[in-house]
Amino acid sequence: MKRTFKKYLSHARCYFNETTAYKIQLLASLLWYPIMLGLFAMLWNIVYTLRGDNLIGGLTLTETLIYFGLVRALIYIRIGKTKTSRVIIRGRLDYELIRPTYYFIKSCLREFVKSLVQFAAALFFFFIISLIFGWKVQTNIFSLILFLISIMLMFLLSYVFAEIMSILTFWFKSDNPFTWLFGGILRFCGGELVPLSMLPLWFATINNYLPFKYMIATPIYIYLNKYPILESLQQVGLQFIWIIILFLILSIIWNKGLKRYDSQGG
Amino acid sequence: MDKRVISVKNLKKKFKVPIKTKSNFIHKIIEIFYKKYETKEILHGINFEVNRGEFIGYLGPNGAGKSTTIKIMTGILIPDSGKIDILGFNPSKQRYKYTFNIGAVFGHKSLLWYDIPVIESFKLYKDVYELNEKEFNERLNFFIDKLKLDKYLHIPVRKLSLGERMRCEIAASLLHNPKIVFLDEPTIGLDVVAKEEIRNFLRTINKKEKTTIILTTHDMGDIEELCKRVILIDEGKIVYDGDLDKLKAKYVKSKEIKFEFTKLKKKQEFDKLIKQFEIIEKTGNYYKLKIDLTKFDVPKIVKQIMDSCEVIDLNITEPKLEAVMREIYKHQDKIRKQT
Repeated sequence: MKRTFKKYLSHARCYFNETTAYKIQLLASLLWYPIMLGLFAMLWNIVYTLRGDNLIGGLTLTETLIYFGLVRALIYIRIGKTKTSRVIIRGRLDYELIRPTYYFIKSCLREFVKSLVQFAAALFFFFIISLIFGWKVQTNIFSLILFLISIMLMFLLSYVFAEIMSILTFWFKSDNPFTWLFGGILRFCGGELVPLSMLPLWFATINNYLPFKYMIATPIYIYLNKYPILESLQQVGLQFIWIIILFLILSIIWNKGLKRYDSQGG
Repeated sequence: MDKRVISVKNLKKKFKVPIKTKSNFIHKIIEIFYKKYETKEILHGINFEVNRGEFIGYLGPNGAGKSTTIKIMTGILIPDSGKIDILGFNPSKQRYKYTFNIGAVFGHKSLLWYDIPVIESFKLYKDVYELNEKEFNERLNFFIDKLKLDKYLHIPVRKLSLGERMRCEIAASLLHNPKIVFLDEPTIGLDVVAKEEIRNFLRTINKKEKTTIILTTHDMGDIEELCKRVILIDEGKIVYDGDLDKLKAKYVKSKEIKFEFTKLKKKQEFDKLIKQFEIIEKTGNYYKLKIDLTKFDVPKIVKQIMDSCEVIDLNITEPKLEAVMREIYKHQDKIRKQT
């Protein structure tokens, strides 16, 4: 067990070194966060002023800004595309298959480490900006713990979903058509573009049966304390159930895909 | 020495390949929505066995099925049918445990991490293969000594030359002291010095550690230097499995005699003798002749040369394996056309 843990920890170290190898690239992506947040703040200020309402979709202007502040941070760990497609196309899966490691653990770890630095930095910016502008929400320790758990589950769920799209490369030679299509749907249905509570009820009803909102909006609404405690627990439970369902689908597709794998090159 | 480590029986593999259509614009548009495929059988029932400590050359022209066989043996590809037993494992079904026992190098792909120093990749593989500090340091020192790695250990892989990278690749794939090593074009694109160093290293681990090595390459120099046994594959079928020397004996149709003399003893006899052969090179008293083995007996000719002039140097050479392989491929092509 200890040796197995060490094996993946060692991978995490290499992924970290790899991510930080190009420091300018990393710095540029970090600076993007406050710029984006500034633009969103300007836009929603105009919307609230024009509407003349204090509440839109049950959210005050401050809550909307917190919502988008968190969205911009969380999208760093909301995985939209994994490296697996390229690994398959370029035949690099060969080396993955001849090592005593489990591919999905490594792949998940790679995506996590890759996004962790940017996510942590964005979250840091978010709390600094919250302090400067006095953005406060009525929350409690229980909601905060659930918020952190929900973020982890959100990451896992989006990873499994993106990995399913990636391994379709075994059949379609690329995951681009799926990441484009589902990326758009995910952005809208997940609540990245507009807070879900601002959308019509019929849409919310359908959306409840899809996995997308659990990949971004759920942890934010938990943080904003918009769910009663029981509903928050239920939302986290649903995230977990979706991970299990999608992971089973991923395993089935992976095993079928490996039979089709032709290992390009050589 | 004779313990069987690999047993491959009736191995078959098919791939779906797109059918080539006309390359005009309309066909390209149609292909976006509908592409025709055909099933191509890459391996037609391969059979062979390998004993512990053997160094085998697995040869064949492009597209013969060499890499496919290697990839099935490493567990990367799953065969359509047939039985494969390597060290008691079924490679694709017992992948996790099996991979502790094998190492592989694919010359055109890298197992090292591109952006980080070589030593970091080695440390990663130390943990991947669950080696302790002592085992790791011993192996690392062995590689540093044999492959002269000390200069490259702290340099990111992207900054290494191909030869330097390949030495590191081989070290990384053998770090865990695997029982069987699969090498797919390990010396591709390397200069003479790098090739020689890698060949020496492979020879050492094969002899000292009794590591079984399966080598696939188009470089016949590698085969001649390293392999005693060769398996020849063509169009997914094994066409030869045996000693390299016997293969040469079977297909070598000519030899070369090079000699130099100081003066002629019997000029008429010498001229008559020389006329019978193809002269490849002649400089003063130096001759290089091609002897057709189907018509002439080499020892007899050597005696006639010695009798007719005062020889100061004489050498008999066989054609390079590359020429032998060319003959074999031509022969296979001929059979294909006939059938």
